Amino acid sequence: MNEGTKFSEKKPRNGELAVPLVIGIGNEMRTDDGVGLYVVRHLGARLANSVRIAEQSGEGTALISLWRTAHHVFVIDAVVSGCQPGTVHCVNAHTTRLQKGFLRSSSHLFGVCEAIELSRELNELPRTLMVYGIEAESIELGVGLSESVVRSVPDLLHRIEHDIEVFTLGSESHGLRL
Amino acid sequence: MKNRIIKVDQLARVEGEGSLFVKIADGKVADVKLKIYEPPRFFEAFLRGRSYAEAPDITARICGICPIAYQMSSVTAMEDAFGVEVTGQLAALRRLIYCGEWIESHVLHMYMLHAPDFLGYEDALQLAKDKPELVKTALQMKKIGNDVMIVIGGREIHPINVRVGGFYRVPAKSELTPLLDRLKWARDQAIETAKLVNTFEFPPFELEYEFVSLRSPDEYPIIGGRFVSNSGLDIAIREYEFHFEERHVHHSHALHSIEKGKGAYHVGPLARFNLNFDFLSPIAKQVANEIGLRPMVKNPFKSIVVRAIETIYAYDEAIRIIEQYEEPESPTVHYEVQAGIGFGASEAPRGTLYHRYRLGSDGTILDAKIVPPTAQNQPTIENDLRQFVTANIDLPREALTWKVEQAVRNYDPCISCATHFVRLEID
Repeated sequence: MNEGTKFSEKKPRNGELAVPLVIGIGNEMRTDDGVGLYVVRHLGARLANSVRIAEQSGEGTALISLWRTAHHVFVIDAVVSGCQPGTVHCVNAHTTRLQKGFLRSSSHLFGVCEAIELSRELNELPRTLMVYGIEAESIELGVGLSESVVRSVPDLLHRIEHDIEVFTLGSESHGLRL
Repeated sequence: MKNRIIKVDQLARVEGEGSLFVKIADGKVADVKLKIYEPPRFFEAFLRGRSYAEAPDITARICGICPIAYQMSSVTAMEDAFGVEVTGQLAALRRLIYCGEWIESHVLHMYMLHAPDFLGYEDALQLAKDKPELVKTALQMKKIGNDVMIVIGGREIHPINVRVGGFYRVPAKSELTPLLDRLKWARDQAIETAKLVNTFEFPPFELEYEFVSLRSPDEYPIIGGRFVSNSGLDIAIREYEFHFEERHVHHSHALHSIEKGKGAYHVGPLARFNLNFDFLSPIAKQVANEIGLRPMVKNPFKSIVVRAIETIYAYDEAIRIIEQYEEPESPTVHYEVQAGIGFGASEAPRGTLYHRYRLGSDGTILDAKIVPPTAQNQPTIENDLRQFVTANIDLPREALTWKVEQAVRNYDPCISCATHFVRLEID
C-alpha cells in the first residue's frame, strides 16, 4: 500500500465547514430505532437554513466522510442500555470514549461507535462531536415510536438547539437563528 | 489441555445472531456447532401477500452490507416470472451498482475485520494507531464504493432506485464520469492491497472443497448465469432446488444448505475465483499471476487475497462500464404482470444469493424462498473448524482462539459483528 498516497477529495469550503451538521441515525422500520431520524426532521423544520441535516443508517465509513465536511457535528441515535425508556444520554466525544454497542443503530460490522473511535485514532474528530442517545423502549420490527420516546423529544430538541448555539459560538457560522 | 471448549457468545444484532461451540475431548474434536439465526426465514413469511414490486426494497432490508445483492436477486427472479430480460446499458448499470457493493464490502472486510487478524492487532482501531495512513487510504477506497451506490441507487445503504424492469431513474453520463479518476486511483490502491495481503502469513491449511458459483458466458459472475462447480455441476438457476436443499439442524435456527448426494459446499470469493479466473479483467488477472495466486485456491485463509483481486476487478469493471456508458432511452423495460414462478441468483460479496418467488396473476407474492450465502457456507465453516482444530489441537489456548475466530472470518459471515466474541473455556 502506498501509505503516502493522498487522494484529493473535494474539500468543503470554510463557510460550509462552519455550518452545524446534525445527523440523525436509525432505521424507521424498527420502531424506536427510528428516533434519530424523527428528531432531525423536527430540528430541520425548526432551524430551517441555519443547520445542515443528514439522515444516515449508521454505516461507519459514511459517517466519517460526512463529518469531515463540518466543524460542528451533532449525532442523534437510539440507545439500548437498560435505562428508563426515553432517557436521553448526552456524550461529548472529545471527553468520553464510547463503549462498543452503546448506540443501537449500526451497520453490523462497522457502526457509529467504531466510526467515532476510529476518527479519534486518526485525529479526525470534528471540533465538536456531540452524541445524543435516546433510550429505546422497543426495537422490534414495525413503524412508529413508543410514547415514552416521543415524550422525551421536545426537551431533547431544546437541548440540541442550546448546544448548537454554545458550541458554534464565535465560529464563522453567522446567521444562526435559534 | 485434552478437554476444552471454544465458545463464541451468542450475538444479538439486526442482521443476524450467531454463536460458535467447539468441544475437544480426549485430545480430539468431539463437536463443532455454528449457530446462525438468519432473518431471511422471517422475511420469506412476510413477503407473502405483498406485491412483486415491493420485493426488492423489502428484501434489501435483510442486510445492511449487501442490499444490492438482495435487490438484484429479487428483481431478476420477478423478471424471470414475467418472461423479460434486462439487457444493454440497464444491465450494465445494475452491474455497476453491484461493483459498488463489492467494493464497500470487500474493503471493509479486508482492512477493518480481517487484516487485524493477520497483523496481530486486536481490531481496526489498533491498526489505525500504528498505521493511520493505511486506514485512511482504506476508508477512501471504500468511500468510492459508497459513492457509486449513491449515484445510481440514491444512497449507499438500502438504495432506493432499483426496480423490476430496471431503475426508477437512470443517471446521466455526466453524473458518472466524475467517479472515473477516483476509481482509477482506488484501482491502483487495490493492486497495492493485493500485494500487501499476499505477504501475510497463512496457516498451511488446505481442504478439498466443492466450490459452487454462478458462471456467465462472457464475464466474471455478478448477476445471473448458471450454477457451476469444480466437480462438473452446470445447471440453470431454476434447477437450483433440484440439486441443493436446506436442512434443519437441531443446533441452529438457520437451515443448513447442502448439495444433494454430496454434502457441504463452498460459495464466495474463492469459489468465484476458482471457477471464473478466465473472466477476470486483464489487470486483475495480471496481478493475481504476479503474486502467484492461481486456481485452485484451497486455503480459506487466503480468501483475503482473493477479495483483493476481486476488489481490483470491481474497480476495473466499474471504470469499463462508466467509460462505455450511454444513457438508455428508458429507465425500465416493459413487462406484463402475470402469474408464474421466477428464479433469480446473484453473487453477493460473500457468496451466491438465491431467490425464488411464486406470483399470483396480479403480481401478489404467494410464496418466497431466499437462500443467503452465509447459510450455504455454514456446514463448510463447521467442517473447516473441525479440521483446523484437529490439525492445531496443541496450539496454546490464546493462539487457538485467535485462529478459530480468524477461520470463521475467512467467510465474512454476517455474524462477525465484533472482534472479541470468542471465549475459550477449559472443561
